[in-house]
Amino acid sequence: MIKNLCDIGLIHYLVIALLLFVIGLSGVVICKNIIKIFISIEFMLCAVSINFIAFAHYIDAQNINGMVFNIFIIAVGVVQLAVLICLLYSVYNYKKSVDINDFEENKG
Amino acid sequence: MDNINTFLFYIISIILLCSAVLSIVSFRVIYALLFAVVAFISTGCVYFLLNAQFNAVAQLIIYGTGVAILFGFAIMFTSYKKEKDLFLNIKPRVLIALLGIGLIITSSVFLFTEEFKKSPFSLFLKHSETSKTIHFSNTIQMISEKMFTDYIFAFELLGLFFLLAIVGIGLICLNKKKESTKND
Repeated sequence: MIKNLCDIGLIHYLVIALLLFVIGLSGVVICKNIIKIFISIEFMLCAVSINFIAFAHYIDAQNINGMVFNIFIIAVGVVQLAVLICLLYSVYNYKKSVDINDFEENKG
Repeated sequence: MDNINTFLFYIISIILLCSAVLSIVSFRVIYALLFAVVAFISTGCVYFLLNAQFNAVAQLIIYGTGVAILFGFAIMFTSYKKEKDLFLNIKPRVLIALLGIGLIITSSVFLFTEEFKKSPFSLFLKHSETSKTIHFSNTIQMISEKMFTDYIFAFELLGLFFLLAIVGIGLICLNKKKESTKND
């Protein structure tokens, strides 16, 4: 057991990514403040990125496709965040609130 | 060298997970943002441990500074009067969070058991042990070569996506400006 813990391998990074993903998911479920929900979504993206890089390092070392995908994830994540914050600001002007429950009438 | 890597891995992992949890449970949003920045920087350090230097630097520059500034502006533009009411006041949410934590613990324990080693997923781990010794000489060059050869179409699509996002943000802001002038 101790040898498993000291010899860092792919499984350790997978466990860290799993923990970070579930923390992010819990944040999305628990928090009512919409900015905290955005932060939690970014945590989930970071967890996915750790998974990609860990697989690229340990399994796909010749091609490192996971590292290239990580660049795409970072770029798309930041653009998505910019659009979300712009939408938040425009909705905040009407509602004057950052509570996710106040946006209930926007169900579509 | 392995001992140092092991030590660094555990220290960085603890900082990453603790700051992520503190970011979610903190009452004030600005503290949540500060802990989130620590978590993003720790994620960059995890990339350094995995020999992904280019990704680590991109993570530190974009998430460590750019996203933090973006969130900072979002917090500045919104009010914080009702912040204390915006957290954990509905019981089902707590129950769902506890279920999530239970899921983490059971999955983490399962990954270390003998049953997992017999399962088909463990093939990945066996494969990883064999390719562990491959040395990364120049990952930055490899990533840029990949990006401009195999992934050129995805790269161009990403540029188009950026353009669409800029146009979308501009349209939202322009509509808002027109409505505010109408109201005046």
